[in-house]
Parts: sequence; structure tokens; C-alpha cells
Amino acid sequence: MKANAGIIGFFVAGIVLGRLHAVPATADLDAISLGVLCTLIFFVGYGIGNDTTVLARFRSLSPGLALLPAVSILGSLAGSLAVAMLAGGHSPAEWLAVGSGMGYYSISSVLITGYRGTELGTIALLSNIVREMIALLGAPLLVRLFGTLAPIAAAGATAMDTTLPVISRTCGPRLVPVSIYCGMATDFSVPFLVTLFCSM
Amino acid sequence: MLAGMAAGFALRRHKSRWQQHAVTALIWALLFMLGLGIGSNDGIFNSLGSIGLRSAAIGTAATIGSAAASWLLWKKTGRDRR
Repeated sequence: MKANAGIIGFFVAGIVLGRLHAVPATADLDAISLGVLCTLIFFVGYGIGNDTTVLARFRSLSPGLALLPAVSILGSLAGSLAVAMLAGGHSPAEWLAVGSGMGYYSISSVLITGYRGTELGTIALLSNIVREMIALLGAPLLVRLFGTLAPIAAAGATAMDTTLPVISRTCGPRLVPVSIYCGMATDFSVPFLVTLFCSM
Repeated sequence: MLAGMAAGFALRRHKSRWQQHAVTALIWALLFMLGLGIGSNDGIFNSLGSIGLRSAAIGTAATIGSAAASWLLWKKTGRDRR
């Protein structure tokens, strides 16, 4: 919750200072953002390389449940394509880039802002917050509608941290390792998929 | 990303939380700058309502898409029924 409050707080503080024109117009925000973004991606990669438990977690899963992250990602992309066809406004690749954020709103929104501008980056931020809210508040309903794996699939990258307690309660403690694995795998996919769809 | 993964793997014996703190600080900095971009751009700021609607649509559709797809896997595996 503290991290979420920080995310919202810095985002809102930026909007307020932007409205007040507190930053000189000559400041090259895009160049600064790109430098910070590259540093961020380096550190995200560092965390993945530094975690030696990843392989062991993969080995301990049954083959069927190992497919859950892929199923979750494909489902998100299908939902995003449906919105692209019904709503328009953005290209299908842009909707897919937003949909492939998988709840990892910080990384996906800053990547999309860097590639496609502020408007789509804002949509990525808010839509991924919506995803987390649905996963947190709608978990019991998701189980009734789509089965026990649904809250994990819906949670996406957040299945390994913020939504894990709710998943444990609604899906049962036995699925906690699956949830952590699914969260890690979808989390890992976000920088690659977002970059892929943004480059189309 | 690959350079970071290589560095992390090379230093895998040295566990510390500084990397997580660095990622959090950098994300906050970037979201602050995203906020600055929105606040200083009248066009985007004035269309926040429409942006919110589109965000709700794509967020809901992607989440329901994931949950619905998991139903297929649930039917296939189906062994964790309580």
C-alpha cells in the first residue's frame, strides 16, 4: 500500500506542478525521462538475474498450471483486441501495448509514455490500476464466473505481491505458489511485450 | 535489460534490497514526470475524462479476457477443486 500511495502521490504531484508551470519550459523532460527509463530497465533486469530461485519455482510446477501465465497474457491480448475493434481511437498495436501491461502499471506506463506519448501512457497507468482494483475487489465473483484460477489470471503481475493475500483467501493457500509463479512470469513479460507492440 | 540481467547474475551471491529501492525511486521519478507532462499539456489535461473512460474499458476488457481464458485451463486441469 505504501508503494501504491507513493505512485499515486508522485503522479498527482507532477500534475499539480505541471498545472502551475513550476518546471521551466526549456527543460527537456523527454530526454531526462529516457535516461531514467534506461536506468530503470537495467535495474529491473538486475533483479531478474540476481534471483536464483526463479528456476526452482519453474521446476516445481505441474505442466498444466505452468501454462497459466501464457493463458493470462493471451486472454488480456484478446480482450484488448476486442476493445480495439469496438472503440478505435488508437491503433490495435497501441491497445495491445496497453493491454499487455498486465497490472504492472509503473513499468508499462513509463515505457508507453516513452514510446507513444503522455496520453497513451496515462491510459496505461489508469487501466492497470483498474485491473488491480478488479482483482482485489472482484476475486470472489471471478471464481464463481470463471473458476478457481481466474483471480490469479486476472491479477497478472500483481499476483505475486499486492493481490496475493486476496488470492490465498479466495483460491486457497494451495494455489499460492502458482500465484507467485504466475505473477513473476507475467511481470517478466511486460517490458518485452510492451516494447514489442509499441514498436509495431 | 540484458546487461542488467547479466550484472545481476554475476553478482547473485551478493543479495541486497538496494536494487528494489532503486527501482521504486526511479518509478516514482518517472511517474512524477508523466504527471508533469499531463499537467503542463492543456489538451491532455482537459481530456482526462475521456482518457479515464478508455482506461476503464481497456482495463476491464483485458482483466476479464485473462479470467475467461483461465476458465479453459481450469476445465482442462480441474484438479484443484475444493
